[in-house]
Amino acid sequence: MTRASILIPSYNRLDLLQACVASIRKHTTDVDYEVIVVDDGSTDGTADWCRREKLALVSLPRNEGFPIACNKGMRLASGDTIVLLNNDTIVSSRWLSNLMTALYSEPSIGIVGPVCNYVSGKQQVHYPYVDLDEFQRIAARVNVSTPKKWRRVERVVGLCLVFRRELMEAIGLLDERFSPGHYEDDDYCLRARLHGFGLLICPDALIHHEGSATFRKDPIAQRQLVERNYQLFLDKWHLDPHVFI
Amino acid sequence: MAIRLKMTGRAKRTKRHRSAHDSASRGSPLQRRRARWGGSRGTRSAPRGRRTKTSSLSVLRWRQEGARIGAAWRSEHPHGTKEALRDYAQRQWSVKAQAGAAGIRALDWPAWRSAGLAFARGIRDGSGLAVALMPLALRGRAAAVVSAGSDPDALRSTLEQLSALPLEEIVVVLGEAPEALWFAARQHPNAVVTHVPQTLDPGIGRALGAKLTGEDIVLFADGSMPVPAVALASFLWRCDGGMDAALNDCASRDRLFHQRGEVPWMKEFLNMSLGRPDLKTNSLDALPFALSRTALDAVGASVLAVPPRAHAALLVKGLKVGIGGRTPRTATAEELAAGDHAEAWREAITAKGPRLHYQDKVRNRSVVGGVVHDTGIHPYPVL
Repeated sequence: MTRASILIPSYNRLDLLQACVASIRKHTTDVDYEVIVVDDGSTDGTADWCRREKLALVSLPRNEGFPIACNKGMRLASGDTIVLLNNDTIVSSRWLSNLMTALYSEPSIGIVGPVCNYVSGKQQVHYPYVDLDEFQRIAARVNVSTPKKWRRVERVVGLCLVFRRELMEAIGLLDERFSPGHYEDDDYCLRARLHGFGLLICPDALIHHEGSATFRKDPIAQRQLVERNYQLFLDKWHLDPHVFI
Repeated sequence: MAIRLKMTGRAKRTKRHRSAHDSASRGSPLQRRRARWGGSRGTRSAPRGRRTKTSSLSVLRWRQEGARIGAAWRSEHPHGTKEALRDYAQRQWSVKAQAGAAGIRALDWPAWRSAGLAFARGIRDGSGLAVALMPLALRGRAAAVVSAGSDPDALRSTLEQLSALPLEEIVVVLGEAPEALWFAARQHPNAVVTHVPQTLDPGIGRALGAKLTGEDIVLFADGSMPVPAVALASFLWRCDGGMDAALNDCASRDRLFHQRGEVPWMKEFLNMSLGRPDLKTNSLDALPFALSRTALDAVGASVLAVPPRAHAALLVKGLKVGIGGRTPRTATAEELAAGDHAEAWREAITAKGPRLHYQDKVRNRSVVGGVVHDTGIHPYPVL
């Protein structure tokens, strides 16, 4: 079985990171993995906590954003399967083994992603839970590997991207022009498809995504950033990324 | 009494020449040998290039230029930081280098070095800030990888020296390290610090650091032995000029052959067996050294974990390996050397065959369908 490198870029939400890592440790017992935290210039003791917890850590000197942080993690990763994971997610039982089953089901599959309650596009599902215990109970029932539920899509959201090392070697790293974030996942998925790789989403891998912690802090700045990056995508590809959602 | 005419011109030259030859036939055997070879040692260790001294006038000009630029920057930025001044000064230096304003020959490092140091001094004088600066105009982008060692103060010094150079990023690799070492690394405002939760061999630390950066030139520095920025600059300069691996010249400090010890013997034999006797005992395990992107892509970052193997890989692939500078270095761990060198030869033999580049001039192998010269023909058929 291949080894997975789980890369978590993190900026100043140590509480979210701790919950995320705890859930990974609890629910990833059936897969050989390493965790690499990329501390994106945090000032709340994230780096110290990671060192105490004996997690592999790349500490950046300042906040560089999602693409640059992920790229550092991707360079350091030694696994055959790479997982980019937001720090505001909570994973559940069999999440990674189900995703990897889908990823390796065919040689042409390059990227897979899970479903969750808070995401844009086809990965959005609606399971009724009010707290994390209920979420874990529901996920334990939902996360049973079922190939016929997998769906071919044209974009997988960057909050949890699982892809092969072979794909990374073929298409390269994330495009840093989209720093600090937004549309780098659309760009990566498009490049993967242009190289002949297929994308799947897996309704048999339900995870929890807290979502929009950054957005709530400064919604106007966030909206401007989204607009700017949308324009960057259009300038690069002369294609509207919304058609792939 | 005979009148002795003063000898001039050709006659004088001929007399000098003749007397040298004459002494070749008289005197003790040693004197005769010396006269024949024209010196006390038969060969020089390395051909000396013609060194052009930068004239004191142009050094003065550079200092004045630096002072002018420093003063102008300071008046525009009365509260500017040293880092901002450093970045500005490096950019100004690059502009002047491209303009070729100094009339310094492009490849003459000592001239560039003196001009750069004078410029830096001028910047400090003009701005009034004691900024550590080694002006260096590189065509490519450069990064540094530092294996942290165990001394926090030495690491801080190393990082300070690296800050003076125009590096895009400085990667520090730590294994399980005490707090003091972590803080020494993290306090640097520009370092990307990688912590791996296990004890790290320095070679593996360098390999991980090399993986983390994608710049055109990567300088590998020793965190336990600070080297002045001006010495490190020479390695970057050589790689920027086209060298793929710029090594630290330790061979010039070697003792006589029988006094060197097993590890230097193996290093020299590795160089000779791969067709590079000029490198003598120099090898990729002596920090600092610099590698170009071409070299890193050709051999892969992970091979740096075993320095002799990386050295062999560079030579086998025909990359441009040369001397980048000469600085003191820490002693290598001797225990691993034998196994590492065995791996190096295994790598070379896998690529080139068991005879490497040596030809069998004794046996007529072709008569029985064997190969005479392995290069380019592999696998080697067993006879």
